[in-house]
Amino acid sequence: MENRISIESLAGVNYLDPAKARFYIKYDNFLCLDYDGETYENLKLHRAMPFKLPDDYISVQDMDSKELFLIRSLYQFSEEQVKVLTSVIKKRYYCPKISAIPSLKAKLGYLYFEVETDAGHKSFALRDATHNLRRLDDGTRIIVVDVDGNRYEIPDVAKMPPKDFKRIEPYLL
Amino acid sequence: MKEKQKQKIPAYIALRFAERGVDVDKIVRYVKGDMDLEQNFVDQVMAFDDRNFYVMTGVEHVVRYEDEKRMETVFDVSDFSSRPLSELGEIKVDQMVATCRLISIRDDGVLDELADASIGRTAAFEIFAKNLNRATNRYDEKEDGPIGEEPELFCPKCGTRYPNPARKVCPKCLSKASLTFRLLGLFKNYIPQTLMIFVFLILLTAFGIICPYFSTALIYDKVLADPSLKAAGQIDTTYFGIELFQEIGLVVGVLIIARIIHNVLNALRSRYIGGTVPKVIYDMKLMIFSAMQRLSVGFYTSKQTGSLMTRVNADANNVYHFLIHGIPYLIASILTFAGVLSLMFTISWKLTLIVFAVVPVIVLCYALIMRVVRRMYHANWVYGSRMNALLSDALYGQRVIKAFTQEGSETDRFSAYSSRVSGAHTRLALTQTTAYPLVGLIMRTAHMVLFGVGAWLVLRGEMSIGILMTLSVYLNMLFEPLSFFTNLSNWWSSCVDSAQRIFEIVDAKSDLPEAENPVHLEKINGDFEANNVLFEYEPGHPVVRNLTISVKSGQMLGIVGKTGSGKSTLVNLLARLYDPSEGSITLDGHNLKDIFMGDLRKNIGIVSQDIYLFIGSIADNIRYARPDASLEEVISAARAACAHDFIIKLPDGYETRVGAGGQGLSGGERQRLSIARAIIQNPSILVLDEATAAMDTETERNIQNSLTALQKGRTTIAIAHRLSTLRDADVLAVVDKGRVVEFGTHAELINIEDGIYKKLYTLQMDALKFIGTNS
Repeated sequence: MENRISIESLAGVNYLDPAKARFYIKYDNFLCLDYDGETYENLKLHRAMPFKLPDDYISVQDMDSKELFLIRSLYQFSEEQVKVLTSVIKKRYYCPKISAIPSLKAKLGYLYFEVETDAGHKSFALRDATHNLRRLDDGTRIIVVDVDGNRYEIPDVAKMPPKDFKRIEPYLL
Repeated sequence: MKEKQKQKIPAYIALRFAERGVDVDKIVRYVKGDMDLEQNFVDQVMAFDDRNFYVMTGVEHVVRYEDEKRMETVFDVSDFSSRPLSELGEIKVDQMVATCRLISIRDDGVLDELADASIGRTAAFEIFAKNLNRATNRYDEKEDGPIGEEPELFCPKCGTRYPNPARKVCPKCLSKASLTFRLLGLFKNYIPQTLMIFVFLILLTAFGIICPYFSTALIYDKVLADPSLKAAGQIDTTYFGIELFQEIGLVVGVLIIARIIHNVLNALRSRYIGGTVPKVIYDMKLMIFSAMQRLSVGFYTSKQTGSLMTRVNADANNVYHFLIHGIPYLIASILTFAGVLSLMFTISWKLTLIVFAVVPVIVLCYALIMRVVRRMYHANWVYGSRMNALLSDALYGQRVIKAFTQEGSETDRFSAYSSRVSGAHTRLALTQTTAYPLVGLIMRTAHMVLFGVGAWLVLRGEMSIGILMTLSVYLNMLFEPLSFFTNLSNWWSSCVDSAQRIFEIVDAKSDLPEAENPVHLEKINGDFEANNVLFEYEPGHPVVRNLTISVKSGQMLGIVGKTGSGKSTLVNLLARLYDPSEGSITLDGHNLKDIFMGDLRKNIGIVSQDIYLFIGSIADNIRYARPDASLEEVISAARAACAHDFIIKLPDGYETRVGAGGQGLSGGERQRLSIARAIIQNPSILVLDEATAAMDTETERNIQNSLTALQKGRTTIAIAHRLSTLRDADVLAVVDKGRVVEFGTHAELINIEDGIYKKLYTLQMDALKFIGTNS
């Protein structure tokens, strides 16, 4: 029994050691990393649990989507480093927050939304509300995915203006 | 700059560029974005000419000129920038989770973010990027394939965004009425029956309206009138001069006859509806099914349309219910409502006005209830289907559940879902049992008010009792259509939604169209040639590219490559399950697109990785491609495919039922049946896509011998992971990332230093040696 190999060593996950890492942004919007004497450029960050644990288990990948490291938690890093990483993650997982729904119309099986978000006004169409109005953990946080795959978040649907809540309520199940 | 690259730029955008000193005639391409680099929603236009790259940011909106009654699109610019093309490197589109960005990667490693956009713009950005790369001589058309066109995203009529650009249906322009007419058009083969249904409906409704008049007004006012008044001749007891209602027995007789006539009419109407509508639905389902058979594999596998297919049956039922219950009931309701109301008006306009005051209240109540109840029905449906999904999950996964001892947690999961379903049922029942009696109460109250006022009129001698009773009956008849009308619009909407989805499938054009004058090939030799073929499922993501290979008649082509390298796609292209996006494939010198599909398919036998067995006997499944094959041929094919031995051991032999709900067969057994199916087809071209992957080495060797014999005189295209399977191949193609990277005979490929084939071959040989030394 003692000789049994652990799953972690079997999987060979390359956890990033925050002490050895320095992330920085080059050419305005491209993430780079100096790690243990090596430099990695144009990196991508992928969340393992985008909804439940947005700040934990983040995969650091190169241009060819090959995983180089796995970050256990953003909180292991200094405030300045967190800022750098968050700005990149936010861009990849872009998801404007919906604050109001001035109009919602159902036409031929599609829902046509007019929304106000923290990034401005937007109108979009949604197919199959049962699957694309995702109620996280059956709670009040809603992820809306439109026909193109754009994502929007309603942080707390219960706190929406009553009129707007009434518009969306029939489709939340 | 190539002329075909040029794109016409809309006048309102061209104007803004011109204002900023750009020579609009020189602009080659433009693309619209919807975000700035900080990812705020803005309108953006990126464009380039022969020297510069431009970005114009602002707001695009429509201006309505009231006096001139015209509209105009305007772009208000808030920011404009330009940079020389020489500063840019290779342009790529970086696709993120919900956004994409246009980036430039210079040869010296400098990266630049040129624009951001929401993910829906990816395809347009890809095409723009290709064009921009071509302008800076970084795009090789031979290597990367020609550039396609951006899909149309907006309805040209009204400018509304298509909810699904793959299916250009604009919800705004699509008229519900025209869809309904098209739906009714399904009845055109049944005109006499439909007319009869109408006649019965009209008769029945008219009968229903007139009957109460006879059974109430005449009885109360004439038959049951005070005998002394009758005797005194103060009451006219004749009706149209006939003394019919003198005798009560006669009256009762008439009423019974009326009831019989009513029921006969009703039965006839139901019989006609029941005899016609199912036929219409049968026609409709057949129409959908034949349309489905016409469509390509691509239609079924695409994300957008795949979900459409799963709804077809539910949609057909939806339409069925509307046709069989909705439309006849609608006609009857309109006739009843109009008839009753006009009769009531003729009888007593005063009392009818009271009714008018109540009708809106009742309609409002119904509308409210329907809104709540509909939501509850929807909740019931959603929870119910989720529970069913969970149930089938648990049933199919029993082995896994038991293996991991998760019976308890599965029961808990089921209990949670089930309690939701029961909760939803309870809420619906409670609402219905509370709300409907409430509306009933309002109706009764209205009824009583009407009765009171009526009684007062009777006492004043302004109305007879019979008339009051008739009005009272009519009022009840009025309430029923009211509840129907309130729900009608939703019912109709959902039927139209369903009809629209059905007609979308029926109208869908196959993306593998038959040529106008197809070439008929009685005998196919099997000379294949692919010329510079490019294929992409999604624009900008080629799966097969720059493919040029040729296979001579009777040769065997072996295709080798890693998982996901595009091997199966290549086979799908050769069998014309898909058409190449660019380039051409020829068979015996004819383009595949020009060959009559029936001839082509008849001559290509495919043994693929996914084996599908239809519901039926093993014999039927083997002779699927040639139903007239004799049992002897079936047995010979099964023997050749090494399937005979296991089939004969089954209790029902060749009559064993397989497919859904039938005998479970192992992967290897299914694969052997699939090979037998191809053998019996006797095709000129044999495609083996990992045909022997699920078999043990001994069976594979046996089948391999059969297959080798079968391959004689036929062109064979075989995909295999195990190179030993391809030992007899005349030519081998090594596929990597959609390209044929090595092509030649085994002897040629094995001599390529650092070649993929050599590497694979050495690896597999080493593995075999290892097994040999250890066993």
